[in-house]
Amino acid sequence: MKRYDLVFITLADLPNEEIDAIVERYTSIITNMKGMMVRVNRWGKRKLAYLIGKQSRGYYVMMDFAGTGSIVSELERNLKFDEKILKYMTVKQADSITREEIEKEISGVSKEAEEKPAEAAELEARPRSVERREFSRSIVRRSTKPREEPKETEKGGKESK
Amino acid sequence: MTAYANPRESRPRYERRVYHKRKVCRFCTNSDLKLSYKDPDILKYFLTERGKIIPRRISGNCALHQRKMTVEIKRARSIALLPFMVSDT
Repeated sequence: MKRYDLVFITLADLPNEEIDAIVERYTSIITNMKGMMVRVNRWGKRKLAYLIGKQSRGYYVMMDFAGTGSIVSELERNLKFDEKILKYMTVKQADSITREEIEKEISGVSKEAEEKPAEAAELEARPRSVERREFSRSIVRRSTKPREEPKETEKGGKESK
Repeated sequence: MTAYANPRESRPRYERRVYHKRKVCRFCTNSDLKLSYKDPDILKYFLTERGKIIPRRISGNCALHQRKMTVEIKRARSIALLPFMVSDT
């Protein structure tokens, strides 16, 4: 079995029940095809970095599962026709993983989940450590200033008129 | 320090001595940092304001991590966590 991450973006203004239904639908596809669901992470509503289908916001859901490649193609076939899905991406995380390894991890994950609130999105929940802040400070940031040349030429053009 | 045997070295006035601080790969020094498309906050620092990937000679990443990072940035782009391009206006 291989391990995959599936991230999909649904419309942002869907009611919660509908998102539950979507998640359940794709989970059932995975389990029906003898895949193993490790966890479902809901990142929640986020602003998209660019417009997708004239939408600027979306609801992110990440599914971590293990299974064969046929599951992936089946999932993607369904996602393609789903109008509520803006975009999806599957990434292979591990080439070979055994059932026991996953079961071990699932039990570990569920313990963690009990400690944390269920809605805690992976991105937001992580505490910003001091190291991370230092990291951000130390990064080289190049400011790409907009070129001024074209503006000047525009001005020149106006003046000549 | 050495004698100016080479004529080039004998006129150091016009040669600006650029001080290069040795940059160390951040991902090698800090193992807590994990490169992943799921964490666009980290990847964002390696993008210019225009959304381009900052080259290795400026970011100071090692070859391995730069390679891994570009893959993760491209993944993040494909699910709209990072922009492909930032246009002004």
